[in-house]
Amino acid sequence: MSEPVELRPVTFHPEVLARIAPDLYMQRHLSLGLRPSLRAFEEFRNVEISDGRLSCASEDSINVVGNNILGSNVLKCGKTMVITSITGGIVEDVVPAKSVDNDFSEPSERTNRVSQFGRVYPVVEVERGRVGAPTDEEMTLSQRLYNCILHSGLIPKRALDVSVGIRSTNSEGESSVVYPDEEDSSNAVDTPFRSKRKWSYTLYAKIQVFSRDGPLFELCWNSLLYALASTKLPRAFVDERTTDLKIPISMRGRSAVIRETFEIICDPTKYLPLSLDAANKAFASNFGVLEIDPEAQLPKDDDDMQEDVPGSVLLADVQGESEEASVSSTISVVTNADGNIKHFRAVGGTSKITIEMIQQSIKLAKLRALDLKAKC
Amino acid sequence: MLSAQTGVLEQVDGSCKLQCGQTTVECSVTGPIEPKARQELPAQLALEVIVRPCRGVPTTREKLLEDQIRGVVTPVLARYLYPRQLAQVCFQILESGEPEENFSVKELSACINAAFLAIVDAGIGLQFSFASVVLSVSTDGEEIRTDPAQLDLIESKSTHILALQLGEGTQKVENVLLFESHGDFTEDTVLRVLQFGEKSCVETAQELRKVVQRKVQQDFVWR
Amino acid sequence: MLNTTDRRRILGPANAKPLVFDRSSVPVEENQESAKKSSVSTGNDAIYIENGIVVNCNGSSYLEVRSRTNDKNCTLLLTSIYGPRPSRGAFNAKATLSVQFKEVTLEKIAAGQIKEICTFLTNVFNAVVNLERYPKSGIDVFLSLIHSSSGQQDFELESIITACVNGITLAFVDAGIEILDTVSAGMYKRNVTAFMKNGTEVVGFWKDDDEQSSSENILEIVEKCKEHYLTNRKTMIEFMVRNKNASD
Repeated sequence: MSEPVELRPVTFHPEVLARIAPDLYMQRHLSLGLRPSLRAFEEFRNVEISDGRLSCASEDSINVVGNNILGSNVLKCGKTMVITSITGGIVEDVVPAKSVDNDFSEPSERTNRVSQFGRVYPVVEVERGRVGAPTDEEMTLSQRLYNCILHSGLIPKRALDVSVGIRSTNSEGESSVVYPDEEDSSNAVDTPFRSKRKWSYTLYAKIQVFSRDGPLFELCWNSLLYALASTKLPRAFVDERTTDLKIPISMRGRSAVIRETFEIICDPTKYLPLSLDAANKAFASNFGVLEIDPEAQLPKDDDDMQEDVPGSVLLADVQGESEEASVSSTISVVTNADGNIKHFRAVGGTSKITIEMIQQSIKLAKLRALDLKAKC
Repeated sequence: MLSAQTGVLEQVDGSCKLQCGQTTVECSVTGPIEPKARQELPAQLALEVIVRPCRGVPTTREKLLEDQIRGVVTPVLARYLYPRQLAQVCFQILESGEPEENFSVKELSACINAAFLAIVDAGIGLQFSFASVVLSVSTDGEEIRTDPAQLDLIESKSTHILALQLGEGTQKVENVLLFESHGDFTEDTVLRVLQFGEKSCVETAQELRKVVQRKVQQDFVWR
Repeated sequence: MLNTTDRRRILGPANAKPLVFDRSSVPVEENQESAKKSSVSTGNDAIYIENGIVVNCNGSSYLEVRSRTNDKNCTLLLTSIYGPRPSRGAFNAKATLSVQFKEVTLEKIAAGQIKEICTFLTNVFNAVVNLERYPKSGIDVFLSLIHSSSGQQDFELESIITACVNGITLAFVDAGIEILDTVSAGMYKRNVTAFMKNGTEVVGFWKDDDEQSSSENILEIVEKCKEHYLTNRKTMIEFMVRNKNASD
């Protein structure tokens, strides 16, 4: 005869339950009207930002050898920390031979929206205690940031144009730099060289994340935005003596290719802020949609009114392992406070995303953008 | 606008070649097969998505496409039917039909639709049918275009991709699987595009159904 | 050519050139002055310590070393420790320790030098961590240099190494991994010495090419480093005691 099996209820510590049954842990919290982080459903975490004073244009490190950071930001949200640093390069634009003097090419350009905007090349790294090639998450994050910056029109292409100055050395050996936008119109030192070639800055962003604790796109985006807002571009010039230097670079048969070689040099003391398109400065917020499982609810007293439990709830600013694991549908909105949306993404999993949820998330994202803008 | 053939590849379980406007993709599905140890899920079918660009080698752009496709396909597959197994979904873009360095919406939409047909061809269980469309909003913000041509896309003010989960013989919209927008737009645009897109998504799904119908007819022609 | 480019990162246009700053117009004297200052400031810096900043690792520490005389000289270092965690492969009676060093913002240390730093630190802590207690495990130390002295770079590498040793010790304490003693390092000119047991045992010695101290006796250098070590260790222990009292 077998012994009767006795079933005893098992209890777990909250941390253990969160690990082994994140969905149940989540549902139990929701039935109390709270989230595991003890936030309300539509409550965001606070965001702390600082520029970290890492930039070479900042007061601390202006004109310091080896520092080539043009803008930076340190963003803390909950326990997650995002450090963004912007560096730059200079690239020579391909100017079609004919379009230099006339602006007839302009009208056709105008209709091509994306071609008017500048890009940023981001690389995201998330510390996870492993070494090796970037993970899929890091790669998709970088690419999403790249796409969003480009399509948002945050950086007008004009803002990246290098207005090249000319350094001339007078007979006493003193050198001075003349920039085209600073010189008087009467002072016509304008050399034909300037119109021939065109340079623009390229911007790179290095984004390092510590203590990953939920979806990262929105945190990285906001940090990148703050960093770009703090970015200052160095003034650049060429040496007068090199402007008419021509060096043959290849000789084959009778034809020689001649190319002017001159280096663009940056002034370590003079900076101009990167002018972003203020109307396109938008902030990111994320939301999760979660279905309430009626069976996982805590039993209620009989006296309680039979409340209508909503089928699914919208959670703002997804945080923590259990939330991330149990939220199957997500909404991400990049908008400014006026409702000028730059990027919207809804990914529906098993929970249904309703029109009302989309409207509500946009409404909340706008409010949040207003709050985040104030910190800029 | 949309034309597709299934069973174009011999050595995989399911395949499909789909052309939508100037965009052409080929999709293959292999599965359920034995997964690598790190892919294995104890209770569900694991999914591996690979996208190969029409020229050059895959970069982060293709990684993002893979991520987006996985987001759409994962919830509609009957994954509980195949525990500890793997399905490999592979895409080769044959013609991009859009400026690749700036856009990827048309490729993405074509991939999602091709995935539907190839999965059906492979005979892997699906819980729902799904379909996807690209929409663009013209510069004045008024006109919404479905499946915009390359030029429309370039000139558009905002671009949107919509993938919907459909039920009841693709007549009823059950959920939004993916709705992603870029550019310059407002809440009003989002809602209008969603409404407009629902209709075109249902139409696309019916096109896809016809392809499936033709496939079934051909497969059972000897009966 | 195609295989050599990194396809996993967005690299930007291939023809882009790095920014070249012109240093010719900068007065050189200013730099030397700050170099003098920083040599004086050795052993006279303010250290800010915080524990547990990184939450998804086993232990972490954050160090901010700021020179008292020159506010611009500042090293920010974040250390996180993962482990002891099971290591794959053959049975190992002792834990294996690895040290990774990364510059989070600026990248100005050469790859070879980073490797040297990592090897040096691995050697130091192989002698310090009670590896026998953690068989079949791996302990991985990740150092993230957020910022390093904005001033003249003469003693930069050495101050970074000093911060690394102190940071790793604090992170080990935070992780609750057994170490033989609170190891700390002291620096003198371009020399770094790591001590334990109240300065009676040397666990690591780093010396760079340096004219300034080449004439000096090596024992004198170690003595000088020890002074710095004692102040550093005092700061660290004070922090740990304060931390413990606060949590009690």
